[in-house]
Amino acid sequence: MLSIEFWVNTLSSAGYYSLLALAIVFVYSTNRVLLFCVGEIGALAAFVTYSAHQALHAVELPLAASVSVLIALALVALIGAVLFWVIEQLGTNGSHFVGTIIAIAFALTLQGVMNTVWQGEIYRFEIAPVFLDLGESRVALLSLVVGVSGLALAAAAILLLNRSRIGYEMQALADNRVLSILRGIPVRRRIIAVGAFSGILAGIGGILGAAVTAISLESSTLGVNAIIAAIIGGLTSPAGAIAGAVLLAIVENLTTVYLDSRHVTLMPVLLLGVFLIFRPYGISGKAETVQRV
Amino acid sequence: MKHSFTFLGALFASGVLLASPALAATDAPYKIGYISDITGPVQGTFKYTYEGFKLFVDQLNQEGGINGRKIEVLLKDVQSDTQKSVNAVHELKSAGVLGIAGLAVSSTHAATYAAAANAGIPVVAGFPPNLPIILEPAEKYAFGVGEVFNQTNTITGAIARSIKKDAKRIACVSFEAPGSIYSCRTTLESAKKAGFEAAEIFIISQNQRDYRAVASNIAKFKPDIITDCLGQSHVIGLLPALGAVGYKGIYLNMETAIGDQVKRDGVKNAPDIDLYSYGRFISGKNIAKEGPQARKLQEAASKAGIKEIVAANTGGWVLGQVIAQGLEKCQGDCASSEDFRNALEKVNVDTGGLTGVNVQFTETNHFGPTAVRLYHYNRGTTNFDPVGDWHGIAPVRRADK
Repeated sequence: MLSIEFWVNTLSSAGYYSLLALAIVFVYSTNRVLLFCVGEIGALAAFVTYSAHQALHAVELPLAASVSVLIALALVALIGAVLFWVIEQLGTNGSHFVGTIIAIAFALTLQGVMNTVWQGEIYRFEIAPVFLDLGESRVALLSLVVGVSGLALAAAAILLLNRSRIGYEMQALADNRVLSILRGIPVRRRIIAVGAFSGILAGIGGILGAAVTAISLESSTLGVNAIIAAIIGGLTSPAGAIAGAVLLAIVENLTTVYLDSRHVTLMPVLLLGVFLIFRPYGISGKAETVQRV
Repeated sequence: MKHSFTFLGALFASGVLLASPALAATDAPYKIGYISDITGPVQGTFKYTYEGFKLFVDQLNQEGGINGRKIEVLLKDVQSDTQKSVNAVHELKSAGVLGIAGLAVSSTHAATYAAAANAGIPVVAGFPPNLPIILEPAEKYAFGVGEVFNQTNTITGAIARSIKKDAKRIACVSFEAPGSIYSCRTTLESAKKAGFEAAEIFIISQNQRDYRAVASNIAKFKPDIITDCLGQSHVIGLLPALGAVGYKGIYLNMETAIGDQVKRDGVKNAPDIDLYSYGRFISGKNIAKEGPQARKLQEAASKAGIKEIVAANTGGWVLGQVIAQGLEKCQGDCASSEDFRNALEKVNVDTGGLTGVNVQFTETNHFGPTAVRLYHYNRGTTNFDPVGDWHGIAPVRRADK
C-alpha cells in the first residue's frame, strides 16, 4: 500500500517535469527543434533566483523572493528569445537539425557560465519547513505546493495555447510555415515569442524542482528526463507531455520504493525504450504524415 | 699590468661561476606539480584544498623558503578528467617537477599514480579521499594525506556509540562509487563491534536529485543514528528530505571536504535532526587557539579574506607542510624525484594543532596513523563545536582488507 506521502512526492516530481516537458513540446511543435538546453535553462533560473534573493534580502527589499523569481524568469525568457532569434537568423539555410545542434551548444554554454559564476557550489532555497500530518503519513507542504502549482501552470499554458490568438497562430505556424506567412502571421516574432515562453516554463520548472531538491549544476540533468517525458507523451502533444511527466514520476518513485534508488537514473531510458518498441508515437499516438503536393 | 690582473680576475670569476652549476641550481626554486579540479564539476570539493596548500606555500616563500630556496607550484587544472590527469603528469615531468601533490576525484587517482610511477615521480594525494594503495605495504610512488576509508571508518561505530550510548540501530548512506560503498561496509562492521544490533547500508545514485523516497526508505528502517560517506550535493539534498519524513535522530556526517556551510544549509529545513560531523582536519571560524600552525593558517586565511576555514583548507595546509618537510629532508640539492621520494618516506610532521596526530610516513606505510575529531552542530550559534578529545586510529594494513 503506497502512502499519501509517496503520492505527494510523485505529484511534485510530475509538476516540475510537466513544465519542462511542455517547454520542449511547444518549441518542437513550432519549429521542430529539440530543446536540449531545457535543463540548463531551469538550473540557471534556480541559481539566479537564489543569488538575486540573497542580494535583495541583504538590502531588505520587500517581496525579495517574488522579485528574485521575476528577475530569473525575465532572464530565461530573454535567453529563450535569443536562442530562437539565432536559429531564425539561419533562415532557410537552417534546418531543425541545425537548430537542435544550436540548442545543444546553448546547453554547453550555459553550463560553462553557471560553472564560472557559481563555481560548483550547491545551495538550497531557504523555505521554512511546514508539515501536514495525515494519519500515519507526514506530508511536506512544499511538495504539495510544487506539485499542484506545477501541474496547474502546465494546464494554464495549454489553455493559453488553445484559447488565445497567439496560441492559434503558433499552432498554424507549426502546421504550415509558408501558409502562415501568406496569412500574415508574423512568423519570426511568433517563434521568438515561443522561445521566450518556453524559457519561462523551463525556468519555473527549474525553480520548482530546486525548491524540493537543491540548486546545483547537476540539476540540469532534469532536462534529459523532461525530454524523455516529452517523447513518451508524443513530442507534439502538450497534454501528452503532462501524461509522460506523470508516468515518469510514478515510475521513478516506485523504483526507489520497491527496487533500488540507484536504478532511478536508468528507468527513464528503459521506459523510453519500451515506448519506442510498443508505442513509437507516444501516449498521444499521433503519427506525423508528410504529403508531397 | 693592472689591466691584465683585472682581466684575469674577471676570467677567474666567470670560470668559477661556469664551473659551478650546482651553485646556480641551489638558488633555483623547488618545482612541485599540483593536479586538481579547480574549474571542473567537482571544484567545490577540491579548490579549497588547493587554497590551503597555496596559502602555506606563499607564506613559506615569504619567510625565505626551504634551505634558502622557494617552492614554485605548477598547477594543472584537470577538471576531474582521467586523461587530462595522465597528460598533466607527463607535462609536469617535462617541466622538471620533483613531485606532484593534490589530485582530483578518486576515480582519477589510479591512472595518475600509475603514470607518475612510470615517470618516477612521487605523488602525495591531498584531502579528501585517497586510495588504499598508500596503506602498508604501500606502492612505491604513492603517498597521501587525505582520508582512506579502510582506515577511517574502522572507528565510526565507536564514535556513533560515544554519541548515544543506548543506540541500537544504525544506517549508513553511500552513493554508487566503490570507495563510498566500501566506506559504509567498514562502518557497519565497526558498528557491530561497537554493539549495534541492526545495521544497514542505503546506496543512492551518484546523480541522485530527489531524496524524498530514499529518505522514506531510510526512515522505515527506524535508525537511531544515520551516518554517511557522501558528497556535497548528496548531503544538502538528503538532510532536508530526512527532516521531511519526520526523522528525529542523530545524523553523523563524515567530513570529506563537504564543508560546514553545506551542512548548515541542509539541516536548516530539518529541525529535529541532531547533527554531528567528524573528520581528520580541524575547521571553524576561529581555530587559532588550537596550536601554532592553526594560528598561522588563521592569519594567512584572514589576510586572504577567508572568513571560515573549512577542513579542506586545513588539509591543503597540512599537505604543504608534508611537501615542505620532504624537501627539507631531501639529500644534497634534492636534484632528482627519487631523492624527494626517499625523503618523503622519512616525513614526520607535527601539524601544530591542525590534526590529532603527526603525519608520519615510513618505507612501507605512506599514510600513517590518523585521528579524527567529533563536532556537534550548535543551532544557536551555527558553529560546529568540538566534542571530547581526538579519536586515534591505528594504521590498517592493506593486505588485511
